Amino acid sequence: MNINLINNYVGPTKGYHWVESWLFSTNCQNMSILYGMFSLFSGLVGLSLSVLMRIELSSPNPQMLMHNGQLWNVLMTAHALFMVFYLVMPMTMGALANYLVPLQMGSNDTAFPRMNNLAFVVLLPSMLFAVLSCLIDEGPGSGWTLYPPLTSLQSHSGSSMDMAMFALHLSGLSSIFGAINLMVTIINMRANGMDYSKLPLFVWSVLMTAVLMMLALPVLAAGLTMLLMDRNFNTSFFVVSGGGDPLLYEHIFWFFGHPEVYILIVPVFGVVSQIVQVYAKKPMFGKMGMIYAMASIGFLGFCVWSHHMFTVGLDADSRAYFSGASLMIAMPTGSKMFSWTATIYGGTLRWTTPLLYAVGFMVLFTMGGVTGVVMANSSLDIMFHDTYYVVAHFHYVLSLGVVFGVFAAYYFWSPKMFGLYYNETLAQMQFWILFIGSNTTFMPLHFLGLQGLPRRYPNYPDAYYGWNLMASFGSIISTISIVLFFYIMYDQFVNGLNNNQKASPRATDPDFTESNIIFNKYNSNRTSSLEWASENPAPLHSYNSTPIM
Amino acid sequence: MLRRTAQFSKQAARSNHRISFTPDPVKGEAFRSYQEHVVQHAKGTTTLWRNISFLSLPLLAVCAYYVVPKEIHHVEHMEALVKLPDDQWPVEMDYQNMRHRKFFWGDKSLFWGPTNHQISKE
Amino acid sequence: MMQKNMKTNLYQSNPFHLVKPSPWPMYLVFGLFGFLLNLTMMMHNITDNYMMLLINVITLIYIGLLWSRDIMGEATYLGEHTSKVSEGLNMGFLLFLMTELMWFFGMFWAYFYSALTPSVEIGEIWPPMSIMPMQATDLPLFNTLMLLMSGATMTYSHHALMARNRFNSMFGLFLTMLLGFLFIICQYFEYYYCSYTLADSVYGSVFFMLTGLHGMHVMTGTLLLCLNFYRLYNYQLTSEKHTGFNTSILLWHFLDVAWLFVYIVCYYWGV
Repeated sequence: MNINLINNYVGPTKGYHWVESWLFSTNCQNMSILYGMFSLFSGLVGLSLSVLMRIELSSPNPQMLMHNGQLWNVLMTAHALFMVFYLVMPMTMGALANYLVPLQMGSNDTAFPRMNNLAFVVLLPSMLFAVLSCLIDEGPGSGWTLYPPLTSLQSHSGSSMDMAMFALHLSGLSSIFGAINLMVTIINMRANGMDYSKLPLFVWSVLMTAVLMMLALPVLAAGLTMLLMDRNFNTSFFVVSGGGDPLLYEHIFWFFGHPEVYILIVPVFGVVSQIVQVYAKKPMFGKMGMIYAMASIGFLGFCVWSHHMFTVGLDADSRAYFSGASLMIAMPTGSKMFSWTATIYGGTLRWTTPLLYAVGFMVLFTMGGVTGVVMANSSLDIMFHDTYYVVAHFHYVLSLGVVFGVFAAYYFWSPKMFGLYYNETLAQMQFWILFIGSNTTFMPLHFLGLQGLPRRYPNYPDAYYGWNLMASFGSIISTISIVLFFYIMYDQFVNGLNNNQKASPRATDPDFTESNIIFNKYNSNRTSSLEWASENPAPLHSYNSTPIM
Repeated sequence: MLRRTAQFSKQAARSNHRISFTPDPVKGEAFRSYQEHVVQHAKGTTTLWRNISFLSLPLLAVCAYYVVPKEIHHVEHMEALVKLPDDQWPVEMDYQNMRHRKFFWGDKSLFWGPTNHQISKE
Repeated sequence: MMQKNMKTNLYQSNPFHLVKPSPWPMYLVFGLFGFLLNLTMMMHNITDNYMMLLINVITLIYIGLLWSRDIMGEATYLGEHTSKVSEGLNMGFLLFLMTELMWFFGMFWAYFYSALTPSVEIGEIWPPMSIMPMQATDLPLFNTLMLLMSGATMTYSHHALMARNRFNSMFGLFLTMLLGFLFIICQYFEYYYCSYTLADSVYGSVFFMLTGLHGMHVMTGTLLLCLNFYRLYNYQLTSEKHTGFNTSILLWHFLDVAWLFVYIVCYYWGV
């Protein structure tokens, strides 16, 4: 990249007053960057909460919470809310999808730009509510699931629980708007000749995720509305004395909650697919199979909700069904894993940071998936339910799966977004530190869970000291890697034009894209998908004229 | 700046956009005839649906004739029930008229009618 | 750089609508945040000032109207709504209806869960003892007929619009609006003379949740119909292009069908 880039800067903010381009923006790229900043901020909040919790758990006796169990519960709830709703969802379905979907399909913008803006801006009061709820009254000490007897008036009488519910309501509103916007964009605004079979896998993954969001989040909204009515307007949906049943809430919540975890992971599947094919210099192995796998993961996600509730007293038939259905999800997921492996196999690999992260994702997500298969058996889950084994499982698929995928996406596409390169050496160091740190944190949790340590307690018997100390040590290592990541970003913004471009997806050697049927005519850049065909960063509204495939 | 503008419009005219923007008379005619067909078809269906709408008006009236006296009787019955002495009121179950807390506007629910007084816990 | 922007502004070689920056989303969110915050404070007796809540609701409605005014201007006077854009709007609205469907799905789930296996606390019967349910053949029957009929008048108005028949279209729409208002009024009386409230066991809760949710949507739908009546009166809807009208019709038919389910479940079954 030469210095002319600055003069020719064609970023998304040019030509508007800053208020118009950042507050009243109707441009998907601006929204993407806003989403990214928002999600980085909430990621830091979530990370610091987790570090606080790990410090508390670094020893059997109270470290800093001084036997304040409610404060522990609030920390835990806030950590989950911030990570799930304010870090991952805005990052994947907000920042990445908004920037890349229009670029990869050759459209100028998303379908409903104002609604896109609304979807982001709604997140701000949502997070404000989440923060407020933790800071006033007694805080929401219920976990992110908000199960009723604990969230009812007798347990949480203050306003903080209502605020947490409003926070989830608004976040759901944001996700629904974002999902509708992206779906219409993908269905309606593809470039001429960009038919579904040619859509890049990231766009496919966003489409699947948007469908999941559209179908799952209103159900959460219904459940939360009933919960709020129970608390404040004397209804008895979940009140036993009025003929209601708290179990109903668990059903409704997990009917949302299970698709929700696929909402978190499916965009990352798309990210990994894109990265693997670029750095292995091979087209995706079994692209159609990947699409069908994502579709069936999404569909099955709606059929397995009760495997979160194996211990509530479901009858044996239900448990048998939900075990079987849950185990079935391993098949499409496994086929995706094999397709990625087959793409890498025999490829001309360039071990850049994005590929490191993608392969890290594949290894660690597989481990998380395997523990998931173990717990899908209802008989085994009786043992594992609410132990650290569960915690280890979902941190392997989310923290080491989704977050690794998000890092991969950042290292892969941030040169696209900013036109500036990061320091490749530092970035690879950051990967290895994070890899070691997060594994040191979460691997011992498996052993703790197998030994029967229940989750959601601020204390534990002395016998669990060793592994807990190791996990706490790992969280410090992870934090160091995040600090390094922020230095890498700083370096990228300040020094980005001078950094080397080893990781650039624009290949200089001949590769498969030369014979790529999608761009066989116009692809002078030899890129695997359309977004690299335009300038870095992409110009206002992406394309002056609709590309013709 | 104006000269540049003119230059760009020339460039635009020269580039491949001409291909995509050439009018297609056949397609245009097809669109127009389709619209005309829609209008003609809609004329028939308008009459049909107008007839259905107007024919169902008496139906609504008949239903109102059937429902209104019943409703009035129902309301009278309920209001008579309210005037009963305390000991003849229907038994109030534990699950009825629940108050986990006051509504923020008071003790009565939002559509608190005359027939709700019988089970007020005040 | 300037070249880029000028190129974009000079001609547009795609059929999509590139929206100009708009303040409404942000202002709408101010209203939303204020509304929810004040609601929380009201619910917890931190404040008892109704005015703040009212101001927030007014803000929300006002911003909504300004936003739709922008859309009407773009659609009618600026010609931004090409057929491709209209397709997208229609599709977006259908997807929105899908979310509404899932919302109703959650509420119906609550109903079936409570009704199919009534708990011991309410005597394992549905409706619970000493709750006098409404008769399906009383006012609810009238309501059902009205909603079904409003579906017919809606179609009448729509087809008249397509047939370029201004009077009939406006008349049909007026009838639909009238029936919508009547429905809301009847619902009000039904609630007012209902012998149980939403605090009367889970039966009252799910009943008022389902019918109330539907009623609130009917109110929104009637508001949209009023908006469309205004647009029809102002010659803003043409026989070829009436996307806003189309979406309102979709909502109205969705509410019709949803009502049929609510009617069967809440009034007929729950007796």
